Order: sequence, then C-alpha cells, then structure tokens
Amino acid sequence: MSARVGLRAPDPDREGQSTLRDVLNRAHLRLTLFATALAGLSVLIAGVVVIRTYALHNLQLLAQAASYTAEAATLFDDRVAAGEALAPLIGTEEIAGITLSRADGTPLWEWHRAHANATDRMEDWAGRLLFPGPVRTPVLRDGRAIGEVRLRGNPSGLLRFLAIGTAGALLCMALVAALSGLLSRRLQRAIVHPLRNLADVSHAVRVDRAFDRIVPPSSIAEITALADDFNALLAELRKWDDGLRNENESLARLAMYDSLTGLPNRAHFEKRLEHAVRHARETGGRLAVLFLDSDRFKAINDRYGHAAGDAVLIEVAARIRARLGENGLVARIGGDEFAILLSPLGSIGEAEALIERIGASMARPIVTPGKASVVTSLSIGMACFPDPCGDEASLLRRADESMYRTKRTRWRSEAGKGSEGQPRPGAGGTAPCL
Amino acid sequence: MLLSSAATGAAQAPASAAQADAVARVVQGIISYTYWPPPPHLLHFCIVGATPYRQQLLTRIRSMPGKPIRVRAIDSAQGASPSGCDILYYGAPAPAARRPTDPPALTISEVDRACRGGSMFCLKIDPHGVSFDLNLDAVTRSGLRVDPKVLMLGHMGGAA
Repeated sequence: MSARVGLRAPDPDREGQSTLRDVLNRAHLRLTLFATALAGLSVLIAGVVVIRTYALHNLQLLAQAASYTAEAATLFDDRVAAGEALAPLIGTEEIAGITLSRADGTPLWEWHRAHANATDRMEDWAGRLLFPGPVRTPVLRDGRAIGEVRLRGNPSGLLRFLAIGTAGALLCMALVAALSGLLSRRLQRAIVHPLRNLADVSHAVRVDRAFDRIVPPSSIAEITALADDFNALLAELRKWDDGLRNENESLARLAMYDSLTGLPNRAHFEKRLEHAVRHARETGGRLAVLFLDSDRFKAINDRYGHAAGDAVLIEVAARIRARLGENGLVARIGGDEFAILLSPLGSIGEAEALIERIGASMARPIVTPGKASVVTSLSIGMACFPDPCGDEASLLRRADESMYRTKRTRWRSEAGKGSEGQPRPGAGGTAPCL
Repeated sequence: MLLSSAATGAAQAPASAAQADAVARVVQGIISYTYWPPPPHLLHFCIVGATPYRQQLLTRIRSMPGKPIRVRAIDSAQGASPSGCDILYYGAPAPAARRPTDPPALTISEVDRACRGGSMFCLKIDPHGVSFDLNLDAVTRSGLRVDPKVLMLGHMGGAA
C-alpha cells in the first residue's frame, strides 16, 4: 500500500517531483486558459473594431443631420437658433462634443460633455484614443460650404462593451478552468489508475514475492503493452524464483541429510532431539536415545574396499529404518555410527525390544558390489529421558558411553573365549548410572 | 434721396459696417430660402424708402450666387406696392397700406419690429446682432414658398 502513497503524494526525499495529476492539471489549465484568453481577446478586438466602425458611421449620420438642421441658423449666423437646432444631439450618448463653426472657422456654437469625475476623464481619454479626430461635415447652402459641424465620439458604449466582454471572457475562463479540472481528473483516472495497478503489483511482488499477481489490462494501449510486458517479466521472475527455491530446498536437504544413506545427519538429529526433549518435558512424556556403532566396519572397509563399506552402511541404515515404528528416527551421525531417537517412548521394554530386533536383523549377510558376502554387527548403547543420572544435554553422550561399555564387555568376553566366531549382536540394555 | 438718407441717418444711430453686413447677410439668407412659383430668370430687388444698410445690401445682393438680381430704388412716394418687383425691402418711413402685388413679391421690412404692417419678414436690428420675425399670414397670402427651415427659425426668433 506504500506504493499507493508513493503515487498519491511525493515522498519527502523526492521533493521537486510532481504527481501525474498535477502535471495533467497544469497542462490542461494552461492550454485551456490560453485558448480561452486568445479567443476572448480576438472576439473583443473584433467587437471593438466593428462597434467603432458602426459608431463612426453613426457619428457621420448624426453630423449630417446636425449640418442639415443647423443650416439656416448658420446662414443667418443665429447663435440661439443654432443652439436650439443642435440641442437634441446633446442627449445623444454617442456624442462627446459638438462644434458648429462658420465658414471662416470661428465657432458659432459649441458644446462639450463635462468631465465631472475621474471616470469621465478616463472616458474622455479613451475617446481620444478610440476616435482620434472629430467627424467633420460641412454645412452646405446651395452647394457652398457656409460652415462645418464637428462631432467628437463618446466611447462609453464601447467601454461598456469592453467591460462586459472582459467580464464575460473572465467568466468563461473560470468556467473553462473548472471544466479542465474535471477533464484532467477523468484523464488522470484513465492513466493513473492503471499505473497504480502496476505499482501495486510491483510492490506486492517486491514485498510479498506475490509472483502470481497479474496487472489488469487498461483502456490505454501503451499502458496495456507495458502491463503485458510486466506480466511476462513477472512470469519469468516466478520461474526463476521457483528454480531458486528448489535449489535452496536441495541445499537444505544436503545440509540436513546424509547423502550416502539418505538418513538425517547429526545436525538434523540433534535438532529433532532438542524438540523431542522439550516436548517430553512439557507433556511429562519420556524418550530414549540409542547409539549404534558398526563393530567390523573398519575391517570390511580395509578388506573389501570403500564401495563395499558404503554398501554395508546403506544396507545397515535400511535395516535399522525398517525396524523402526512411527515414533522412531534414525540418523547417521558419524562414519559408521548411527543414532535412534524414540519419542514418545512407552516403556524401557519397548526400547530393549527394538535393540533386540535390530541386532537380529544384522545376522543376515550383506552382499557387496564385489559379490562378497559380509556379516556385520552393531554395538548399541542407550540413554533415557527423564533420567536421574544426567540432564537432557548429555543424552547422546551417555548413549555413546553406554554403547562403548557394551562394546568393551563384548571384547572381553570374546578375548576370554579366544575364538574368532561370529560376534553376537550385543545390546547395552539399560545402562546403569556412572 | 440724399436728404432722405441723411434724415434717416440722423434719426437712427449711425450704422456700423458690421451691423450693415449682418443685415445684408440676413436679407440674402431670406432671399435664398424663398421660392417663386414660376422661377423668374431675373429677380427685381426694390428698396422702398431709405435705409442705412443700402450699400452693403447692394453689394451682397448683387454677388448672390445662382440668382441674378437687378436692384431698383423706389421712392416711397410711389406707394407701398410698386409693380414689377419680386422682392420689396422697406426702409424708412414705414409704408402705410399694402396690396398684394403682381407678380407675388417677397416683402422684408426693417422698420416694423412688431411685424404687424403686413410684411412677410421683419428685421430686428440690435447692437449685438440681427434677427427676424415673420408674419405667417403674410407668408401664406403672398403665394411664395418659404423654406420651412426659415419659417421655424423666424418663428423661434419671434418667440425668443
């Protein structure tokens, strides 16, 4: 889930990086605002040009009307009559100033819109900018110019259009900004969601080694292609991981088992013994450890070769294993030494019976690869738990010592007989405390 | 004539050149806005009586573009309605009675401020300018057509 966090908010050590959503938002916003501003500006400019053209045309018409109505007044040089003829124009909003002049250029009558406040002064300034010169129309009488009407345009209508147009454009920009936010959120959902899937899966693979996860396809072809490649990569990783796991398992097996006989090795046996002791202590059960040593292994090795020795070891291991019940575990803990863990152990008698059975199983000759038939025997020692003579840590050692006592006893008895007969399988039996 | 002129000059304030010019211009304007039913080839401008603006009147009237005008001076003893005049300009003394003339004539008076003497146009000459009043009855009776722009101007001037 930290992958999600990584996609949503930048990590502290990745400051300066922005999320995909931010990038999309910014790009969208810039583009749309630019487009809207451009469109609004061109509409405004076109509007101003058109309206100014109409306003100039209108001024021209007004000037013509003025020159007609003021004709007689101009001819009779009547200031009062001129004022009365032109006064109706004063109410016209489009006009900022009227001048009626005589043929010699001296003004007969004039009027200018008063600039009462800053707004009016600004309007006047804008008017001079938008209408650089007054509209001039001659006052004609019998085809002769007897005077001139000059009208200055008033830009308030144009300014109002500009204000409304600008406000409209700004409103549109705000609307478009909101829309672009929505749009980029949709786009982000289309892009970021599949990317987040990808991130989730890669995170799961890294943390949980969940190679069976699959990135779902997305509506965007490029991301689907990426997901497919990712899935393929995952499959390869999984195969590789499986191989590694198998190798690890076989290595673990090598570490825990004896490669010749296939029995657990000493380390494995000690671990199992530890568990069994703990279990016996907790449940109040008992267990026994047997130590087994081949009596004639060295002689067989010397006489028939190592291959024969190996065959004897394998056969001995197989015979011991065949005699064990559910509660028995046999391990090869040295060259020709084996150990048996009996846990849980019902009674000492059970262990002694097993020793008897194993000893008996060695009587049958073993055929070596060299077709020699050899007979071996085992010396077996035993230690129990719980036992007043020692703690659980010395179980194996005590079983070993018990086995050596058995072996020595046998040697003495054999030396006493002075015969070379078949050694009898011996058993340590219940060894007394030392 | 000279005597009469001198008498008029003594009776009235001496006319300044600017005032004379203003009077002449107004008269010229009135003529230009008046239309005779059959447009005559030549307009006869008759000055009845004495006027201090005679010289400027003559100069202006003669130089009117598009309308050839012949100027005649007529003694007030000949009566208020001499024949053969298209325009009658009344100076001092104010004429008594007037008859419709043949052909119909435009009548302008400079000595009838109340505009009740039967003239169509009555000049009001003041030191600050020259305006005129008009007698709508006289205009209607005259049989001439006067441009409504001037009618309105005269009416407004009279009202002012």
